[in-house]
Amino acid sequence: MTQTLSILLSVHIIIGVIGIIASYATLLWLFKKNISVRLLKISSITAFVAYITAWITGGYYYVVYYGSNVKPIIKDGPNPWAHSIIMETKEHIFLFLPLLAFVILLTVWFKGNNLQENRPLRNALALVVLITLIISVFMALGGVIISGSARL
Amino acid sequence: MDLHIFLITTHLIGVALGVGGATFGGILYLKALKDGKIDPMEGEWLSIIFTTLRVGLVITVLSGFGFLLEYRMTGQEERLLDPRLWAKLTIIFILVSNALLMQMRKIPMWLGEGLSITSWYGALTLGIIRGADYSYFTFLIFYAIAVFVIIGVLSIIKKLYLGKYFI
Amino acid sequence: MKNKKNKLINSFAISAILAIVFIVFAVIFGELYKPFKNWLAGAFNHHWIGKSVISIMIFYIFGFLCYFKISDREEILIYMLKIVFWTALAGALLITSFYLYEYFLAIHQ
Repeated sequence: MTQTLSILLSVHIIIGVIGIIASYATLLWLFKKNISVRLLKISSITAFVAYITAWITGGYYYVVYYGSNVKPIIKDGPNPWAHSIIMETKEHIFLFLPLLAFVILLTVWFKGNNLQENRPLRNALALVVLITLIISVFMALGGVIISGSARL
Repeated sequence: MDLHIFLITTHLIGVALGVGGATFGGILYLKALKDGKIDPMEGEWLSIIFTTLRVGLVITVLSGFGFLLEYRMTGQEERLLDPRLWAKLTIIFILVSNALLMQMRKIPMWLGEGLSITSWYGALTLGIIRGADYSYFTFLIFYAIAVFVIIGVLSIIKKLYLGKYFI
Repeated sequence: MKNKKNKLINSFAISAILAIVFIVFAVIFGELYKPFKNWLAGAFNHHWIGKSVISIMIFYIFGFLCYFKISDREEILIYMLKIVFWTALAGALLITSFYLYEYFLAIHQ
């Protein structure tokens, strides 16, 4: 693996975790007694930027390196399902994240001041944040399994 | 300072803040309940402690993934499938889910507190112990037993200190 | 007076739903009908890049197009957010189930 690819993989992982933390913070702060719209704006934009960055960095690594160098090793190893199930699922479900994060960003930035009073709106937004968080956590855990199965 | 030392240092700082925050949060909460209510000053102190705990959690999670990245880059990929690591990840998952449920008031305080304390000390123990070659499910059984034990111990402490059970 | 912010959120909620549906369709159809996957790889250098680009195009194009027709009512906004949640959940489960089926049950020639 070249240094560029190592850096991109590292950025993908760390920025992905930052995205997860930001989504978690958004969900947590939605249920504060006194909702801080400022904090929600920060966390929602952090999550969006993080998922976009993880998408670009992970995508480059996947297209340029993973297919020809890592995938054959996993498929020939003791855990071929790590590619056939985990990676295949991960690479496609990940595409939901920037979309969901953008919808959350719009809602927080445009309707943030309504969230304290409008409980149905807050709860509906929380559902979108929750599914974003669940997907991003499974992306991270899937990545750990895939890396663990790639004994290079 | 090399990367490994940096990761260990930051991870330990995160764990110290988290374990310390959970411990002192529990103690302060108990003290605050002595008179039957949490007054504004006690609420502020608890808020500071829980914020510190959350900062510790963030540092722990980030540095923890730093370790996973290090394993990937240094040819130690087999450590990523270690049952002890996955037990630790599961406990952290329970910890953050618990914090969310507590924030949403969807979980009783006695259960949330027990899960929080057990999870922090459980993750700490899993990080420290060496030579424990159990399966993932065995580690989780130990954790589940520890949750019940800790909830029991906390309820006895509350009975002795507050004069009534909180279950 | 129309609430532009509500309209924008509603329109992007719809476009998110459409993009997610496309992704699920592209994944499953691409695996079952190889010429489609090959076309994506040929047109975009890699099938995954094709799915990414098309889903983003759907998201932003329909996000702006739907703006002109969509309601600005808050009740619709709340409803749309819930539909986004269910679509994302169903999409994730469908893709996961499909690859589980492919690995464990499907017979490959």
